[in-house]
Order: sequence, then C-alpha cells, then structure tokens
Amino acid sequence: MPTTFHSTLVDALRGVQRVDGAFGLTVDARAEPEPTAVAALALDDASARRWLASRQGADGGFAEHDGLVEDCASTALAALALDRRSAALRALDYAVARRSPQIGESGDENGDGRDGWGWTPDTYSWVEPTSRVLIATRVLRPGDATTRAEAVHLLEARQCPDGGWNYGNATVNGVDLRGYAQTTAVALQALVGSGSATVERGLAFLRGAWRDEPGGLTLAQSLVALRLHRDRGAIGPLERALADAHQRTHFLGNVLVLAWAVLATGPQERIDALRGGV
Amino acid sequence: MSGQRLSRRRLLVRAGAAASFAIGIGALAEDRLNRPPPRFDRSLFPEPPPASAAVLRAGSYDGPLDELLFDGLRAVGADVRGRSVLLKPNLVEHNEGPVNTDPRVVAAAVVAMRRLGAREIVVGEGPGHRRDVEAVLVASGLHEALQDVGVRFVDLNAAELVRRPMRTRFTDLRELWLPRALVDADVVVSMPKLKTHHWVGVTLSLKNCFGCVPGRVYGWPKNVLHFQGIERSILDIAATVRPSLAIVDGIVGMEGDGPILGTAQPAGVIVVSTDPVAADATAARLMGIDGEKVGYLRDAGRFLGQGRLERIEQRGEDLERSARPFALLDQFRHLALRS
Repeated sequence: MPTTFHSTLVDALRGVQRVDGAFGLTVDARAEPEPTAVAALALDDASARRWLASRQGADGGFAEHDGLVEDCASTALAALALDRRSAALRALDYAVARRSPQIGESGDENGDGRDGWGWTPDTYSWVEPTSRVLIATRVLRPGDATTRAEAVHLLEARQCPDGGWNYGNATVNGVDLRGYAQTTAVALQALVGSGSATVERGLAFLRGAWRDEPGGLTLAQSLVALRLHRDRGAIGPLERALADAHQRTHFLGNVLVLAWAVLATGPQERIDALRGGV
Repeated sequence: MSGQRLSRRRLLVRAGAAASFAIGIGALAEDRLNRPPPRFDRSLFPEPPPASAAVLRAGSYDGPLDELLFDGLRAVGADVRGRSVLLKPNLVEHNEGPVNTDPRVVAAAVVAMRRLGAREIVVGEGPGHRRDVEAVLVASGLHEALQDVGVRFVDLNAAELVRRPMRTRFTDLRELWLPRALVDADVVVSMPKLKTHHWVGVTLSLKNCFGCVPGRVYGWPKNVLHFQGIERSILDIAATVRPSLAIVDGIVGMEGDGPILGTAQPAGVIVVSTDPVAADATAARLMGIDGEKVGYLRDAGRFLGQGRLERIEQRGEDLERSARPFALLDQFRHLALRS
C-alpha cells in the first residue's frame, strides 16, 4: 500500500515535528496530545510516544494548552499511542470514567443516568468520542464487555436512517438527520469486528458519501475505516481523492489531518493496530 | 437620667421601630444576596446609542456585489482604513441549499474592504458541526472564491488560542478561549446568513459569533455552549468578541426549520451595519419577525447595541417594503410581527 504519495505525506509530517518529538495542531502551534497521538500511531514514532508519556496527568488524562483545558476525547486516542501498558490503561480508565449525561430526544437532559462519552466533561455523549473510547477499550482491555457493549449500543442507537452517523443524534425535534462521511468513518472504525447489520448499512453509506465531503480529514478517516473493514472497492479512488485534496489545500496546514492521512496511506499493520484482537 | 428614661410604651415603640429597621436592612441584604448579580456592567456597556443600518437590494448573487457592499458600508460609516479585518462568514455544512453565507458575498466583501482601505484581510470560521472544515470550505465553493480574491482562510477551530475574560455574565463561564487571529484583528466582521433557527428563533450576526470559539475546547457542535444555554452563550460570546461590523447575506435566506434543514427563501437583500444588534433587529424585521420578541436580541438591545427599530436610522432600501415574512416553526410563531 505505501506509495509515493504516502512518502510525500510522511516527509511533510516529519517536517513539522518538534525537536521534543511532539506535534502541534498547526505548523506553528504549541504541541498538543491529539495530533501527537495520531502522528505517533501513523509514524510509529518513539519520540512522539515519549512526549505523550511526559504529558500524562496524575489522573491518567491529557489536557490541551499546557494542561489548562481538560480533554477527555483526546485521552482515548493517547491511550492507544502510549508505550507503557500501565500508562495506557490509566489513560483508558480516565476516558472510560468520564461518561456523559443522557440526552433526550429534544436535546434536553433525560434522567440522571450517564450514557456514552462526549467531547468535553459533563456534556452529552457524541459519536466520535464514544467511538474513540470503544477503539481504545477493544485494543487495550478487550475483556471489558460492559464498556464495549455500552458504546456499541450508543452507536447503534445513533445511526441515521441513511445508514451513516451525524455528529450526535439521528433525529432532532423529530426530524431525521443525515449521516456525515467523516463521523461515519470514525463510527465504523469503532465497530470493526462487530459484524452487524449496522456495520453493513454504515459501509454502504460511506462508499458513496465520502465523495460529497472533499476534505482531508474525511477522506483519510474514511480510508482508515474501509481498510480496517477490508472493504477494498473504494480504496483506490479514495486515495486519489486524498492526493487531490492535498494538492488543492495542503490540508490547510492542519497537522492532525496530515497525521491521519499518513496513517490512512501507510502500512496495513499500523491501521490494524486499531483492531485489537478482532 | 430622667430625660433619657423611656416609658415602657415608648421603649416598645422604639424597640419595634429598631427591629423593623433591622428587619428591613436584613431583608434588603437578603434581597441583595438572593438577587442574581448583574449580567453586565453598565460602565463597560453604556446605554446603546442610536444606530444606522442599510438594507441593500440584491436580486441574485451574480450582480456587482462588491460595489453594492462598498456603497452600503460607506452609507453606514464603516471605517476600515489601515486596519486588519477578519471576515467571519457562517460556514455550517456541505449541503446544497442556503445553509452557508454565499461565497460570492464573502469574496465581494473582501474586494469592498480593500477599496475601503483595509490593511490586511483574512477570512476565518470555526464550524460548529463539522470537524472537517476543509470539506465544507471546498464543497461550499468558498475555497475557490477566496483563491480568486487572494485571501487566506483561518480555521478558527484549529488556530492558536488565547484566553480572555468574559465581559458579561449570562453564562457560568468566566473566560473564553478565542483564536489569536480573531483577537488580533482590528475589525471583526460578522457575516451571517439570514436564517431562522430551531432553538432560538433566528440566527444572525450575534449567533454567528458561536463560530468564533474553538470546537477543540468547547466540543462539536460547541457542546459546552449548548449546555450553558444557547441564548445566554450568544450574549456572552458576542459581548466578548464584539464584532464591529455586520453584513447579513439575505439574497437567499432560509425559513422554517433552520439553520440547516429549512427551506430557501429568496429575500433579495443584504443588511449592513456598524452595530450588529441593529443589523440583527433590521434583518429580523425583514423576516417578518419582531426582534424585541427574540429573547437574546431583546437582551442584547439593553447593552450591546441598538435593538429598537425606531432608534435605527434605515439607509438604503425601505425596510417595510423590503420585508418578506419567513415561515416559522410552531414554537416560534409568537415571534411574528402580527402575532
């Protein structure tokens, strides 16, 4: 799979790595956990992993802006990239413990329970953060059937009628929402191995939907999802679309997108690191 | 001592009076303790002065919009000479339909700002729903439009951040993370689409400020702000960002179930003002909506800008004759002028 395009992306990503091994969200920005975690996975880079380890909080979590902004959603990604298993499990514990208040049909809080995971502390559960927790749990603690079942249940419940996933809910005020390719790709990464009708409907949606969202993040995450599912039909066109996007925008200088693109076009074993034992 | 001795009756009366006074003071103190603290400081936000707004007639996106905006901006006294300008359009989705500020209006604003002497212009947005801003930028046509006029786009969700104290207290948030590109700009221009909104009635230049705060801190779609209350968040963010110009794209607006799932409404207008509250009150009127019935807009008119139409001098097209009632969801029918 690695191609000339992949090499170009790797060179670009290496070119913005800081001397301490970390990555910022944009070229000149301060280092942050999320781009560093994805880059560590994409490049299998020891110095990026070391930087992450140095930034893990005593509670196992990670924070943006030199620790000023709590970042639940990035912690699950960082857990996947940490070298030491004990550190990775502490990060996973931190992420799993931060469940969201339940959301009602109208968008109002519904009861006292907690269900799924959100972007920020104490806000509603959303598709992408829940997917990240599911991936990290599957890889790091596959025997945690409770967490996995909870995340799968939420993703199944939030699937839109068209088979994709919107950012959060499938309906708002009784109106069906449509799926987005990017969110669908992340949900499908999380649901790999579950072999359900939900997955089949999601894959069918994604095979067409990525063409409507010509951004690097969407295309790269779609490529990762389809490669995880061994769904080879769209991989060639997706990789060409990703190359076109890079030529058009250089992904707007967004290092996180670049890191996802490196992972998406790189060796299969690095993508399969997201599978866990399934 | 006799002169100072008090009869039992007089003592009781005086004691009663003292007790009443004490109770009164206590009640007053308790009332002060129970009363919510003021949401804004009048010394920072004096009574809004009269304002002006211009309704510009534009039947389609294919006309000379840069000239129209140039004339409209001059009509309301916009001064950007030698200043850095950040144009903040409303970029929501890759959908077809009037979801986003039209790229042709944004490009025309760039040209108009240059003619008005702006030193530097960037376009910035941090979409609420979409992490992949590039997908929306390209699919909406804005990327190409900005290339044509040679202007850089800044993803406000990913840009470097600075922390700023909140200037008002409508939410529990006491500070706001904002993109440095926004904070450093001399002039922030809010450029919304003329749309109804299924949570707050209308989305215009004040609501458009949601896109100034970064999703990587506040989540997608800015979850923290939804949790704090959308109307209260609009007020806090708009008061802290303080856009100093508004350009509302109402050439084709959205009615009904906005801001995404509504229906196109070709209103054929652009609204321009140096007072975003005045722009929104005027735009609401163009939609057949009484801005003083829109909760956050009514509150904004108390401190942030001029919301009373009788104190907004209308320049350009006649406001009443340009108005075209927008369809409203049931829960917002009461906002209509004739309800």
